Amino acid sequence: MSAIAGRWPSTELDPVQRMRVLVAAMPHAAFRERLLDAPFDDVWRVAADLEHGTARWEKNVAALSILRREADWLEVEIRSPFGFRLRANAILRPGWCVMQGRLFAVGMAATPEGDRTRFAHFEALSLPGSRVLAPLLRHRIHHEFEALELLARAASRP
Amino acid sequence: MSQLLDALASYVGRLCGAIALDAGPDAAQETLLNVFRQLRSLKDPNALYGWVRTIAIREAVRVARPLPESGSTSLEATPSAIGTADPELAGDVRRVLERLAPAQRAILVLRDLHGVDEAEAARILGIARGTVKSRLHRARAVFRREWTT
Repeated sequence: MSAIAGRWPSTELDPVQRMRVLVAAMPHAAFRERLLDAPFDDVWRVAADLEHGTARWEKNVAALSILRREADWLEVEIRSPFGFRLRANAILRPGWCVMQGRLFAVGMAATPEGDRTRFAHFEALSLPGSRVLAPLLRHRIHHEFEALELLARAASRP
Repeated sequence: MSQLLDALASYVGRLCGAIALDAGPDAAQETLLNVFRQLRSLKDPNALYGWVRTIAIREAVRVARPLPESGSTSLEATPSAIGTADPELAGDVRRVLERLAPAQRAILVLRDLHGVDEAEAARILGIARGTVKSRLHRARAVFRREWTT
């Protein structure tokens, strides 16, 4: 039996399924997912373009700079709309991005569903009162999805 | 947390994929959701993988599709009750596993892939040690028979 152990079937979660799991450990995270009416490649081209795309749809980000990059690991600096500068470590892979700073964590995941894209996004704060803020953040994510969908559809036009 | 998810997703994927087959992704997601929701309740970090394994095995058996009635290998069936083997089964572990009931696949995964002893396998599956022994005997017989056909 041991000789064939490596040939037993295995299974993998898609990025959105993985994000649901990750969020399960963050009870105060604001999390939403939605089926975007744009192909995966177009959605992810916008979403993964952290330096040029993120600030166009993510309302908590005024600008984002990549300071260091090693394979799928990044060190980024985020400038908030209020002028704060925050550093974060990020993992960026196809369909998956999670950024973890000292006071916050954000993540996005995407997986194709036919010609459309299931997109998931969470935002979590490590601050007093984050439980109260979560519904507000969730509401804002709803609008961020609309912005991202528009950008992805514009990107898909010839 | 993201790194822990990477490590556990691969481990859980192997357990659930081998037992639940087509329902493996559902089983893996449910397992990991339970694990991450209850992570703070785990007292001993060294017990992590054993704890995750117990949840994964139970979830995989629960969500796995049962064998179809025709040609099924019920837990009480003897190896001789198996239908005629498809010649293409040779060399294809998955097709052999499809001939086993989910509970039999779970026994094989625990005892033969993970080296779990009878008492621990009985605890995880919620059955008597004697039942573990008899199910394993039948599962191995079916596996050998289908594998070598």
